[in-house]
Amino acid sequence: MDIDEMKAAWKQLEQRSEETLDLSRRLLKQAQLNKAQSAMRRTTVPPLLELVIDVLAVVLIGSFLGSHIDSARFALPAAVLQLAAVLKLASTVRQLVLIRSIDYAQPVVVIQRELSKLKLLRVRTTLVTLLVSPLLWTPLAIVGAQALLGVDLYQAFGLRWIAANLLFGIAVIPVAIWIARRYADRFGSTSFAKRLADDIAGRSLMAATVAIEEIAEFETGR
Amino acid sequence: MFKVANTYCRNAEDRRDLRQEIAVQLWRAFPAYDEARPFPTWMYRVALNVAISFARRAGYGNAHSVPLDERVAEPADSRATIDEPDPRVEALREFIEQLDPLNRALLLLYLEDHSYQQIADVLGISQTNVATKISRLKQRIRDFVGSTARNR
Repeated sequence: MDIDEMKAAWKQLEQRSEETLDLSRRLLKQAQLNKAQSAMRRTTVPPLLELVIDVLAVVLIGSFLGSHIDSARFALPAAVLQLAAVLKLASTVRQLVLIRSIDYAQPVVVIQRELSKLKLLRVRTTLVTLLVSPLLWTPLAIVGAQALLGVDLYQAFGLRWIAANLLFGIAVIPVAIWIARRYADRFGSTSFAKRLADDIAGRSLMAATVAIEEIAEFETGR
Repeated sequence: MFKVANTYCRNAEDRRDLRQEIAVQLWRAFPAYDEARPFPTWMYRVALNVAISFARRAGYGNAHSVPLDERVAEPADSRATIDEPDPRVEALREFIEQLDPLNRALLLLYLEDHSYQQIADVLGISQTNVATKISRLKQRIRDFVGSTARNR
């Protein structure tokens, strides 16, 4: 059995498929496109929601920073939060720009490379956000308590509490990575928790990098 | 569209979802279609881009095998007769399932009798690259068929 024989059999299969064209036309007419449309919404809606949240965060933190700029104890944690919020906003805007630039009628290699870049950006953003979150908890608590409740955490709990929280945040990061690597497989194959675990463990990052390498190899003919 | 969906999806439900997704993208992309360019090239680009993205989302690397009965039963028109699977097509499908999404696209276009120039246009690689890759794929198919025959 050689490739030409296989190709001939494949063509015969095509002729038989022609007989089902009527079926396919009916299927397309009746197609309930909800699933396909919701799959596309999943690509664009989350970054749009993120954009709204990111802009809100930048505005609120910026406003707090502006009103406490002369007080280093509040300005410093607010500046750290503002930096994180601006970086997150920049990443979200970049994702949206990439999504809008995707035209499926472009050559396969071009679009797959763009999609892989988008995936890599999403994975990196999620990874950094998840890993930095424990460190941002302390400045968030200081700023939040002051802005929402008028409570000064430096006075309420003292510097030791703040230092302990920062150290706890640092300690949480390697523990989270260890748990994600060890238990990611137990979350099922499609769950949100599994995806998060894969992101933290670096598996998603690895998969996205491999996909980009695969495309580059295909393109160069290696 | 049926062949693209069959090439990239393992079960009947996924194939239906993929066909829907391709149909939606074709409708969405159609207003921007340039009539000066060949229609099949445009259609294959859209269909393959959607299918490859779908396969990557579904994690094509997790498992490649498709239960035989699922393939035979699709498309499931109650009036259609179910033919005996052709062993050559079955061998080809087994081989295709081992390929990464981009090489699947290349082989599908080759099997559909597209010229090297057309394949290069759809995929966005050079004609020389297409020729090299097809030659390698032919060799891999020969090896695959040989090893499958020895194992049976």
